[in-house]
Amino acid sequence: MKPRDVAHAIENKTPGDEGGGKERSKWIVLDGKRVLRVTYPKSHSADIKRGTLESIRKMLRLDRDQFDDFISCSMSGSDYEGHLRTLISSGEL
Amino acid sequence: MSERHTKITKYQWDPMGGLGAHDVARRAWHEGAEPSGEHLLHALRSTIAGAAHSIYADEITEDTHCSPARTWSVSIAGLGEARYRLRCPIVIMLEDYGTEIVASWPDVEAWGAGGTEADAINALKDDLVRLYIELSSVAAAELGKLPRRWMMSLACIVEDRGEQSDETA
Repeated sequence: MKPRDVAHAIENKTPGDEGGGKERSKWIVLDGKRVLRVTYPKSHSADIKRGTLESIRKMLRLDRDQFDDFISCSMSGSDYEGHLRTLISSGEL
Repeated sequence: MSERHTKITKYQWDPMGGLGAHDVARRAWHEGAEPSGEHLLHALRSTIAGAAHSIYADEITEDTHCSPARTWSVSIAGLGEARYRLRCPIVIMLEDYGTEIVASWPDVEAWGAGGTEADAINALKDDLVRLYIELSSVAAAELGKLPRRWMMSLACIVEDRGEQSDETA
């Protein structure tokens, strides 16, 4: 996966504010509260390495199939928000 | 601890996991006899062999493509910043993915990656400082359940020595 694809998905499908700094980080905000934080690399042409991808996936609270769907567009922003709300109602977030 | 280590621990400490020893004891109970030590020892060996087989089966059927080849932990005593200090060393986790090492402190979900262990640890330190600054600048009422816990963890271990410490460094 390319960094720009991951960044594009995170920036467009997660609700919240983008932070600054050496690495990009974004707070996922739901109903005025910060619920999760995701850190992802700044754009480079090379593919993102496995360890970084796994770390991003875990921060987004997605399993591997869901993460593929999240990046490849089949999971929309509202789908992801619904996923987060399910986690909140189950007490995980 | 990695998922694989968790499984091994579970199997090692769960010898009655539906295999030999339990069956021997139950059969003896129904027959009104006490199982001999030799029988139980033999059954226990079968149990352990079965568990070892299960672990092997897990390893070969598990999706290992995304799993780290090696997981270990080290402690760090500082954050590499004059202003922000650790009050006590913390134990961080390292995962070797072959082409990349990921260092993380799961308590607050901070992580950093690099080509070497040192690079990954330094990236984690940067992320910890960044997270502390970000959380410190937000009112507690604006934090969800997890970020509030992260802030509590960081407040316990990070000492902010103030802006003057940057100049004296």
